[in-house]
Amino acid sequence: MERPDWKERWAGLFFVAPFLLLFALFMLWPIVSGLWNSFFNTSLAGVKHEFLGLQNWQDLFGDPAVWSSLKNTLVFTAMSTPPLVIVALAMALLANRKGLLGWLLRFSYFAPFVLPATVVTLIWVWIYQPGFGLVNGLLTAGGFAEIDWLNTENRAMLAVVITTVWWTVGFNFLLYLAALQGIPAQIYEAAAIDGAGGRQQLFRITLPLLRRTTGLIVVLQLVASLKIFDQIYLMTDGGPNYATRPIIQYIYETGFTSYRIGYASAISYLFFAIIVIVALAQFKLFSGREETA
Amino acid sequence: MTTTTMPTARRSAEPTTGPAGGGPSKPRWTFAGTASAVGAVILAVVWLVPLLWALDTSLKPEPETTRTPITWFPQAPTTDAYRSVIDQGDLIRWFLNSTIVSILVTVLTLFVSVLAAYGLSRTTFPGGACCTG
Repeated sequence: MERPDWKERWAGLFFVAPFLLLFALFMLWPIVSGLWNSFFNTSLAGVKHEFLGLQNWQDLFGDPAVWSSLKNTLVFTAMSTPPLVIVALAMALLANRKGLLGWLLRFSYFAPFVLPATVVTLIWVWIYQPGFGLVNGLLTAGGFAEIDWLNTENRAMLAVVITTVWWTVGFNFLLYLAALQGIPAQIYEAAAIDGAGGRQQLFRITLPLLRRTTGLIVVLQLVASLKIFDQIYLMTDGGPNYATRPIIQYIYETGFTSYRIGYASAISYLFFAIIVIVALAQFKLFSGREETA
Repeated sequence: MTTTTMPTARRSAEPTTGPAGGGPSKPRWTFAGTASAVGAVILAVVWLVPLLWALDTSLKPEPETTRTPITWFPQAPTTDAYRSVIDQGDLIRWFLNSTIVSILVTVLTLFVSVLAAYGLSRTTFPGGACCTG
């Protein structure tokens, strides 16, 4: 006996409802309200709210701070992404071994990733100190001149990149390691029987089969690097002389120091568009011509 | 996590020969194998140095932490830093705060996503097909 029970038809929706509610409240609403605010001079200071049309958007294109901070974000991304992918791959190849050594290697490479940004930056600000810092201590011991890493314009970004690679490479390493362990041992056996040496197995089997993982890691890393804020804010506060200030810090300062929420929303949307373009371009580049693993 | 166990050359009738680049390997001495092990250990040491330096600094008395030239081994090791954190800080409160946030976030996330996953994958409702491809 079939009964068209509306409860049955809609029961599934009740399971999804809590998620939908939170998603709408904390994702959709801020996205819509951000776009809406970008057309107003919305302020946190509680002054009246006027419609500006495209004024914020016009201001944005003429604001040198937008472009210089955007440039810093892009420079950071360009500097940090290659080592974060290549070092992670090298680590995974090196640590993919059995026994105590394998365990110790995996522990060492992954350990920094579990630390919070505040602890990481505390350790590294200390390491970069002039005089008694570890890096400068080693430089002077080796007869080199000391560098005031975090207060020199063209060194500060490099210092942040080094810290970031040390801190976050463990995650990419883990993805690569999982992919490596997913390659069936029979393929290597067959290759060995056919006379392929270690080097040939690496270049003809391992690396080609990691292509898909590399694509994923590059996309995730580009997006993560573009969102740079924590380390720079904590280590240099965007300095010296704004040389490391990333776009997100400028958005933050505009919104929460200058209280210009409308303008900050417009810059956020510009940045959002850039991230979407980068992510789409990457997915297009890496999908399609794939060998399946 | 799958990282704690390494794949063994399982179900293979014969023992495999030669270490593969990144593949499972039988211990057999080769130059490349040794070089990669040495390189791996050097990299691991480089990665551990900042953590060890922080540990090292935490055991130095205050004046020694800023002394030049730098030293690796504290001349007068002390646990003063740990004592003052425990004595002066409100450690219990801080840990309690972190614990409360962690537990609530985990429980709420699990609750909401398990319900949503079940609803989307095990039941059908008008519009439900949108998110399950």
